Amino acid sequence: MGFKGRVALVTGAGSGMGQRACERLAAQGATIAALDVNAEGLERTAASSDSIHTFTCDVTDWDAVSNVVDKVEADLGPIDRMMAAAAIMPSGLAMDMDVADYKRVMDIDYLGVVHAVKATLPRMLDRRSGQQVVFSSLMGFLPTMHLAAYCAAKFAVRAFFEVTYHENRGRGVQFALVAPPAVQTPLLDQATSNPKTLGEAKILAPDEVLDAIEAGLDKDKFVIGPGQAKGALIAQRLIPDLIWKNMHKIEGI
Amino acid sequence: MAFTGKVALVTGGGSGMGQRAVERLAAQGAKVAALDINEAGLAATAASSDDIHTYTVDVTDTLAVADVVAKVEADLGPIDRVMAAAGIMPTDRILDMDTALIRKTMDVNFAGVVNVVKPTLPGMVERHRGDMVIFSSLQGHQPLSNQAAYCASKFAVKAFAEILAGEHPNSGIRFACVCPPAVNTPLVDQLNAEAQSFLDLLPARTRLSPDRVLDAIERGLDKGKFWIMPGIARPAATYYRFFPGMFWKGIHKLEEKNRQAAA
Repeated sequence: MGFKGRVALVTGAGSGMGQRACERLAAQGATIAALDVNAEGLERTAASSDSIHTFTCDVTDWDAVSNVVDKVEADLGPIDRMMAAAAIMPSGLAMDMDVADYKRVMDIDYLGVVHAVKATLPRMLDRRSGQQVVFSSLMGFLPTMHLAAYCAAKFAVRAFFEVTYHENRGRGVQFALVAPPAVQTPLLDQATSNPKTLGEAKILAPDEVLDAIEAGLDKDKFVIGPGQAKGALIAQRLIPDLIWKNMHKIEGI
Repeated sequence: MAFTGKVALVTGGGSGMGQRAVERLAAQGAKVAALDINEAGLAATAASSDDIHTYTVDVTDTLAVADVVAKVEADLGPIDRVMAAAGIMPTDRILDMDTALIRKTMDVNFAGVVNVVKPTLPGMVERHRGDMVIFSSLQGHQPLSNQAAYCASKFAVKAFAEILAGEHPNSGIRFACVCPPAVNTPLVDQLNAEAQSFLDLLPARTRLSPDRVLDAIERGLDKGKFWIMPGIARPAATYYRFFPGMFWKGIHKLEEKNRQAAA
């Protein structure tokens, strides 16, 4: 089990899940390209290992992402795993959020993923090898009060990546769409309107999610639902109305 | 039954579904604000009735849309129905599609919806009355090859619309999310050859006319339904929902058939 490749590229590497992923991959002997807009966070990530190379990069900027990937493959070598973990999760009632907020969330959480995939996948396909690991969320499957902007972006990621997978499968590259429930990272703190639904499923530690990802990759699963997400995904398929009923009760709306 | 309100606002009013919606609403005696970036299309729409007022605007421009909404309320009165129908459907394999076009697709199809909902819904909430009709698509429930960007945008719209409605229980507003399968409008012309071949999988009679979709919307609104899934949309969405593996197998089989035919 575990990453057997040489080079991994991780977005959102300056904190939370992305940071922990970098640490673990470096501990397994890989060379890491750690991307984030948050330079300070990147420094903390890089402190854990000499094999972590940081790149301050705004994932919403296609040219920037494309250039960084060029540089990484030239300097560090062909990328064996791309993990798109960069995201923000502001919360609020749908009508309380400005359009600018919706656009920002969509930019980082969806277009950021699109850019990371588009920059790294073609080369992996040429080499007929590599792993594309993309974070959607349980909230990319379950519409959730207070999280209209985040859900919209995570639903978008899921649809985009599922089509991307089916358009490029069977050509040597592995695709994994990760749909965790709430995870104990700084991301949770961004949900300042305190949606209670986030606490409905057991909140996971980053390591639990990353363990689930490795297990899922080993089993060649496309959708990886860590922890109670697995059951929630099935529930969403079978009883979406009951889920809404429960949500109305929990949120008091 | 039909729209009994006084004022309606329709985005994408310059062609296809939006245009037909505007015509029908005006024919029922409503004053209709038709919004579109396509000025020539709007002129064609307006030809059918004096009660159609056109506003040339880019739905991705938040401030411009808010300005138009204010203008419409000043010109025509409080808005009783919004139909967010503006959309684009560029089609290509995702690795062949320019990132700028992927972004634009999300901008028009998703931000375009949010831009019109934000300035119009508060008035409806205050008046405890109104119809908020948002167009997603069958492709907001069912992903499809060559449509990564479009599906992403329609999944986003669907999620937004569902949460928006869920956060407004007992508001007196009728929310609806329209999820048609392929409809005979200029939008379908944006499909590339391979995507067209998926369409041709289904018999021609499953291709809906705008009127059939609009009829389904009126029926659905009257029955208090949120999901408007006309024609083959509901069975198709259900099939994908419960049997995604089989669904994709079928798509891949068709793709293989296309490849062999082209060889």
